[in-house]
Parts: sequence; structure tokens; C-alpha cells
Amino acid sequence: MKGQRLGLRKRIGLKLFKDMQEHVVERHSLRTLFWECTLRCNLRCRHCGSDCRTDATLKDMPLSDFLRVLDEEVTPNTDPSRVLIIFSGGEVLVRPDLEEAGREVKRRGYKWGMVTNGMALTRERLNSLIEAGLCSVSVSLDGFEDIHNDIRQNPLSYSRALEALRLISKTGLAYDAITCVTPALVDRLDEWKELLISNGIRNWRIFSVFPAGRAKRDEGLHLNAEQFRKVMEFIRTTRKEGRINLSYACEGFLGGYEAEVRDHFYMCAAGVNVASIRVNGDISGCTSVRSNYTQGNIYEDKFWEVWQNRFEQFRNREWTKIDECAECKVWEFCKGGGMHLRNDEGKLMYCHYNMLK
Amino acid sequence: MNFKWKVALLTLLGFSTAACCGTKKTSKSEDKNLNKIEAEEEDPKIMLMYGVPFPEGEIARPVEDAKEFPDGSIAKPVTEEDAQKTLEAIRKEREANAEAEK
Repeated sequence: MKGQRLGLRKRIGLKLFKDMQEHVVERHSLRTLFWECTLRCNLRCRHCGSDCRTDATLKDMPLSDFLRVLDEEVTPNTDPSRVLIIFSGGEVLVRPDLEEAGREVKRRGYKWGMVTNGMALTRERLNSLIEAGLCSVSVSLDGFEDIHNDIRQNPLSYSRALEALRLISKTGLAYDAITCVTPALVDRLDEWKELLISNGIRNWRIFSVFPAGRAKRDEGLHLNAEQFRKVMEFIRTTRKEGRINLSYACEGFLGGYEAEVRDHFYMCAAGVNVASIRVNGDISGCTSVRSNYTQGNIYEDKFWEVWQNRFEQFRNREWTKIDECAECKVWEFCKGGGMHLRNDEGKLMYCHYNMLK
Repeated sequence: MNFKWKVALLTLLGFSTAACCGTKKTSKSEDKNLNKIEAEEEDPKIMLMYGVPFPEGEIARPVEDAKEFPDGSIAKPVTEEDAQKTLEAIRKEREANAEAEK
């Protein structure tokens, strides 16, 4: 129960934050827009969130279609300098027109970033992306060579990703390394941290596998409760040390670890401040949400009308008070967990708070 | 209780960063008094699972010399063995410090 316990100070803080969250939901200002520009990928990772229900043979969305949405729907209704556009995939670097996309987005006043596995990020490509206005980049690096390559199922993936991060760390870009912690890495996290620091990497984000997509059937990737608590303790200690900026990803309410393992209190911003345009034109919350919570499609609906008038499931989470959440004493802070943790039937697939018992 | 009070209370409790939605001072150009500053509510900057860090005005430059980090140290790939050695040195240092504190 230790990991779940909320002291008085934290409880008051969470209650205040909860009230502020209501303002945020009411305003629902668009702050991050994902563009799933491709589902093609140069790897086939064991834990991929773009699960097998998505069709990698789907064609990339033409850049002009995305720019039309920006020009007709987003730009007239927002301050572009306050909206971050994130190119995601698949693997974004397989798109040869990524630089053109970046330049066009930048020309309209938006900042943009991308998530990559680093496989195709040569120095030349990185430089051309920077020239196209790249502001922020995240690279997946899931542990030591044996662990990473096993998860990524490619013998070159570790060295390419590490080299990509080493290059990026020299550019002054906003960046981080993203590590999906699996059981094989839990007891070696200290050692892994030293390797990252030694390679000049100063920003690091950790998450753990949740049972969706390919990872659902791959139990060797899942942390048990004891391992999960170890990861939380490791993050807390590392943040106190201050040698590397480490945080746990946004997913899941973390009880007693709230505000200690990441910079902010828990909040699922999907559909509140975050929207995505999928490769087939579907409009949804963040790209982690793989279940069917699609709110519209850019080829049939007006994006801005969808953003303003739909997204009810994302903005009012009362419907998540079912099953184990119905009587949960922290629901007021958790609101039923991240939207990506709900399946098509609305059932919760994974509870971070329960892992801390 | 209004938004600003909540932000102030959270700050007093030591959660100014954790609340991460504060008020942003913005000038209101339409106003006759150009120097008037208005507080505007900011949204939380949630670091998304498959997102990227929010750029904070960093100035990126192309990589010209791959041999050096910004701090001037020489960049060479660090192996698992190197990391083990560093870790061992840190352990020893911690033990020595703990011993000295006794």
C-alpha cells in the first residue's frame, strides 16, 4: 500500500489541480496536434502500439491534405505559435517529403517535432530536418543492445538509435530518449542510466508496456507489481540526484508517486488539449489511443467543428466509473486512467494505481 | 476560489511545477495602456507518451563536428563495459562517502 498512500499535502494539491483541470477541459484549447503521416515502418517491434488492427499497407496521407486542414480549420481558430505539431508513424523518416512538410508547417507559424526509432537518422538527414525547422525530437531506446535489438527485432537498431541520440544531443534541439522498460532491464536501470549519461544524453523518459497491440500477447514484456514499484523508486531517486532529466510518461495515476516521478500531476490530455489526425483521416485524441474512439474524419467532417463539438467521451469521463473504477477512492484524481488504456468496450485494460498496492 | 488563487496555493504547497498550468503574463495591445499586463490561464504541458518535449526556445544548429558535445568533451560511443566501470566507480564513491559520514 506504500506506493498508493497519499499524504495530506499531496491530497490537497491534487484536489486543487483537479479543480484547475475542469477549467482546462472547459477551454479545451488545442495545444498538440499529432499527424500520423505514415504507418509504414522500417522495424517490427514486439511492443508496437500501432497494433495489428491497423493496416501498414494504408497509403501515407498526402501532405496537401494535412495542410488543407491546417489552413482551413486550425490556423484560423488558433494561435499557431501555441500549437505543437508532432509527426508520428509508423516511422516518420520513411517519408521522403518530411522536410517539405516541416518547412510548410513552420512557414505557417507552428513548431514541429517528431518521434523516431533512429534507424534512418543520418547526420545529413538530421541537418536537413533542422534546416526545415525541426524543434523537438524523441528517439526510442529500450535498453542495452541485447534488450533493445530483441524488442526491435533488428540487429542494427540499437547502434543506430544510440548514434541518433548522440548526434541530436549536439544540436541544441529539445529532445529525449524514450525507454520502454521491460523485465530484463528493471535490475539494470542504474547501469543503463550511466550509459545514457556517458553518451551525452540528458533527457530521458520511461514508460512500461500496457496490454494492447502486439504487446498484449507478449507477456515477457510486462512488468509485475514488484518490478513496477522498483521502476518508480528508481525514477524518484534519479530525479533527486539530478544528473539526468528523467520522468515517467503521462499514462496512469501513480498515487504516492504523483509529482515525484514526472514534472506534472497526472492528467490525460487526449481530446482536451491533444488531437490527432490519423493516416486515413480519422480524428481522435492522442496517437496512443488505439481503440475506436474516433470522433470524425477530415475527408468527411470539418476538423474544427469536430474539435469544438465532439470529443464528449474524452472531456467528460464519468462513463469510466465502471467495474473496478466504480468504487475506486482515487477516481476523482485519475478519471479512469488514460484513454489509451480503455478497450473498444470502454473497459480498463491496465491500472497503474493497482500496480502500486 | 479563482484560478489564480489555486495556482498560488499550489505554489505554497510546493507544487508549482506539478500543477504546470499557471498564468502567463501577456500584453494586451488593443488596450490604450500598452504597458498593461494581463494574466492569461495556461494549459498544462503534459509530456505525452508518444509525444516530444515542448520546445522552450532552443536554437538548433546542424551537426558539423560529430567529435564533440556542446560542453567540448570528446564524443565516443560508450560501451556497456564502460558504463559498468562508471557505475562501479560511483558505487565506490558512495560507499566512501557513507563511510566518511559514519
